[in-house]
Amino acid sequence: MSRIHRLDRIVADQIAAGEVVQRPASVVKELIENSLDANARQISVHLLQGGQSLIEIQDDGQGIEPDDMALALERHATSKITVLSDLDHSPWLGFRGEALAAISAVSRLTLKSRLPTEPVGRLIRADGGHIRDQDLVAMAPGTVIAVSDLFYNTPARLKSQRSPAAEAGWIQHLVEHLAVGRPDVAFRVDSEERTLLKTPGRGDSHEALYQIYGRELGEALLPVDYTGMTGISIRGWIAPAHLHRGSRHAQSLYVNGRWVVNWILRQAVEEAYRPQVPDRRFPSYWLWIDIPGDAVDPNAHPTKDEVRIDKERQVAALLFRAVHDSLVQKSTAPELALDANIAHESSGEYDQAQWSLVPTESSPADGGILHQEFLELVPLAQWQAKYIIAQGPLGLYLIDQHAAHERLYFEELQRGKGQALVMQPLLVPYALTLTPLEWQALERYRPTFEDAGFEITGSGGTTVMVRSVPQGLRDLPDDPAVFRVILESLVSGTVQHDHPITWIEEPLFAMAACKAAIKAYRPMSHPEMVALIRNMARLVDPRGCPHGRPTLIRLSIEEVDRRFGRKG
Amino acid sequence: MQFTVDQNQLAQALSMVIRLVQQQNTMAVLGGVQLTASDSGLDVQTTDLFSVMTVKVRAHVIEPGTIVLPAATFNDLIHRLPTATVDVQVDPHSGKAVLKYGRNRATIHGFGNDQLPEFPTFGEGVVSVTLPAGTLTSFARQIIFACSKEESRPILKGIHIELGSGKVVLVSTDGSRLSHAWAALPDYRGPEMRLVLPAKILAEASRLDSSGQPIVVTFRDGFVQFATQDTMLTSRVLDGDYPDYQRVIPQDYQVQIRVPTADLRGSVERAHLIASKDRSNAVKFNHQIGLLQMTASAAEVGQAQEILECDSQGSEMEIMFNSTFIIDALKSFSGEEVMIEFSGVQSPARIRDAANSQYFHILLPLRQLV
Repeated sequence: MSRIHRLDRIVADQIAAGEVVQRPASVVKELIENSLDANARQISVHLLQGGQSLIEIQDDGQGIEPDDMALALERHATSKITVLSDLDHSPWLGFRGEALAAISAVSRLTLKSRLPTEPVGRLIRADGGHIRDQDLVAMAPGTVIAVSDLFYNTPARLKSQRSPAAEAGWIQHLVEHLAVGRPDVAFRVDSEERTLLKTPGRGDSHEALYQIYGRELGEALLPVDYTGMTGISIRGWIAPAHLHRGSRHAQSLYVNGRWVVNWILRQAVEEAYRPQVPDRRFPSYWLWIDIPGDAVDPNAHPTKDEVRIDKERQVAALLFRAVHDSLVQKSTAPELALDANIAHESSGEYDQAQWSLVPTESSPADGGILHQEFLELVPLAQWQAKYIIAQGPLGLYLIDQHAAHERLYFEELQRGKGQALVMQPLLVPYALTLTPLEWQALERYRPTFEDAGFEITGSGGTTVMVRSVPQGLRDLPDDPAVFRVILESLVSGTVQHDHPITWIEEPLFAMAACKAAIKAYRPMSHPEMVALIRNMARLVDPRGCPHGRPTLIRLSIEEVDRRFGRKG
Repeated sequence: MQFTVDQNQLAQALSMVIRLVQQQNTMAVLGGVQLTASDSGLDVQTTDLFSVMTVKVRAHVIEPGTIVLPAATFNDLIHRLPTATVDVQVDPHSGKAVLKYGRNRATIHGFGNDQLPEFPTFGEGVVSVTLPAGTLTSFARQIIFACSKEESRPILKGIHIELGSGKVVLVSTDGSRLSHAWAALPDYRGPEMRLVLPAKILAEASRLDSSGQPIVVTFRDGFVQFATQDTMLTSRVLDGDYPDYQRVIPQDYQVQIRVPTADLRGSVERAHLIASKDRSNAVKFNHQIGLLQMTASAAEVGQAQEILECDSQGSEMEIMFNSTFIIDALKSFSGEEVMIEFSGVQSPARIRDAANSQYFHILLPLRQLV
């Protein structure tokens, strides 16, 4: 008797559904993508119990043809592609024809849809993938999908769900990403009776961000607009570094319009922020990356949020450059937020009077805004032998003398590294057997290694001989093992800079700078303070010390006026 | 266990052995010094498991026995005793040692019945040579500095010892420079041997010279032993292949320069002050017949120029070295004059004591990147 048999269609669908539908948020994602593909201008999501008892998604999209209603719930039924090669240029977010089928397999689903041309809509109900009944229904044009009792027939999955509040939180973050990505669509999320999120849908991503994240962030956003030589363009908004957060929820990357998660690209952006963001804190950014079409494979992952990107490193390098330049050019001194401020910030309500849509000031030709601020600073006194109090164009400034001086030394050391190098040939060459990945990294970066003073020859197979090492990489032993350390960091992908050897030295520069710089509790005379501030204005990147602490903070004159009850 | 011993002799013995005791030990007993009293006197022993050192001290033994005491405490106490002798009595059950000196006493808690791990003893089929007093001290001064300090190639942290054909040759290298020293062994008739000894052990062994006695060095598979009448240091050797160093020592030199050691050292040290401010640490040597010019520069600090008259032959040449390596080499010379020999701008150079041909140093010049 045969022991292998074909699975019942329902069971097979439930298993397949597990890949696509992992939690209520996955349902929301799939359905919103469907709505967006249907050219909806308004999408609203209603949740009960964090989506576990009900997820209802309503849109004003083009609707489903009455004859297609039943077919829409079948697996691999889609209107979006017909042959596989369509995928390469697919403008659609969904394309596999899996979402609705998968969701209906693990829930009780009600699908209502009306074409704009029809007088009434059609309704179809399915339980666990079985169609129960069909009917006519009165409704506005568009589609409404109600998913209730999610996972009612897959107890194991049901058990592993988190609390309703946690799921609602996930859904909120998810819709945040999608809503920012499509500012032309009005999004709304309600959980029980509360509105979690609402965007105006007027096509302005800055407006959407302001709505979602509130005034403090909305006003501080810095624009990024950068086009690389190979046709890759990067646009969007980044938050100044001092508004760092405890999670990565406020980070979105949209590659060719699709919201994606990509570790390497994320690293590149965070690297650009690194001098200013402390450990375990994360910057916020929303960036649209346009790469010529064929470079992206959206079909790499069942939930489609991890995409494969050709020339990933190149894109990462561009991202780093774009974000870094924007930060250096447009950062101002982080403003000191006083308690009263916190009370009326980020109420989340859209309040036209509170803000104008003018983005941050454009930068002067010579240096960034921060450079200009430093140039105009006049030191008043030293406070606690730790901070310099200075007055400047935008208010009162506190400068951390150690952080500032440390930055100064850091850049000096960095400059020094560019000087003509000397290499020490080895009497006894160092033989090293490389892994295939290390070999690849070496082949790719060989000229860089050679420019830095390494002399490397092959010795059969993947064994190489290090015959010379650079003399005096800062504080690094003149040791051939440094070569391996650099290779390993290249392989593990922790290097973002164009120059891997520089990268190796950077933490050492930071440490040396920290040691050399004046410490807290060191009294400073007025000329010393003037000199330090003048020098800061000449730095490439005066934002923070190499360890991520800011060099200065600002108390605005408006804030002080307000506190004293003077209405300017 | 009970014995009486001369305070001074015991203090000296402890000073020798305590250098093997590691600061941190996962085996507590390794932080101890083992005292063994027998008819032949008192043995003081420590080990770090890689090597073991035993010093014999004359003692009046009343009752034989063995005890391990915390090395640092015991050593510090013995050094501070006011009396010429000390009486030590150990209660075998409690493991406590009572030290009596004059009217005073101190009690030290030992490691009970724990003893230091045994080291294999040397049996038959061994090779041994006798080195005159002072030989190891010279070797240590001449070549230890050129050993590698890095972990990347552990074998280079050792000293290569080659025994045979009437002489013993010692070599050390850190990969960029090499030091070579030899001593005659006219009486040696045994087989040829090669081994790599940790630099630290050579340094410790050279301290045996303080007795002024010749040192007997015994070799056995994987072990070396250095012994004088009272003191014995036994160590494992390093595993691994030592690089073939012979081919990096040039046979012919195009330039030979003879200069007073002190003058050269002064010049290089001054140039080094500037050179060390630059990451490259480079000093340029420019040779013209009868003249040696040294220059160094650091972008943000300044330049140095030193000119020495010298006795020289060969072609004119400009060649660049790591100033630290030159100074290290010069420090090892005791003679009045040094010989510097260049074999080419990109080839190894040799530097040696003009009056002593028993040791020399090989340096590879630095190369400027364009």
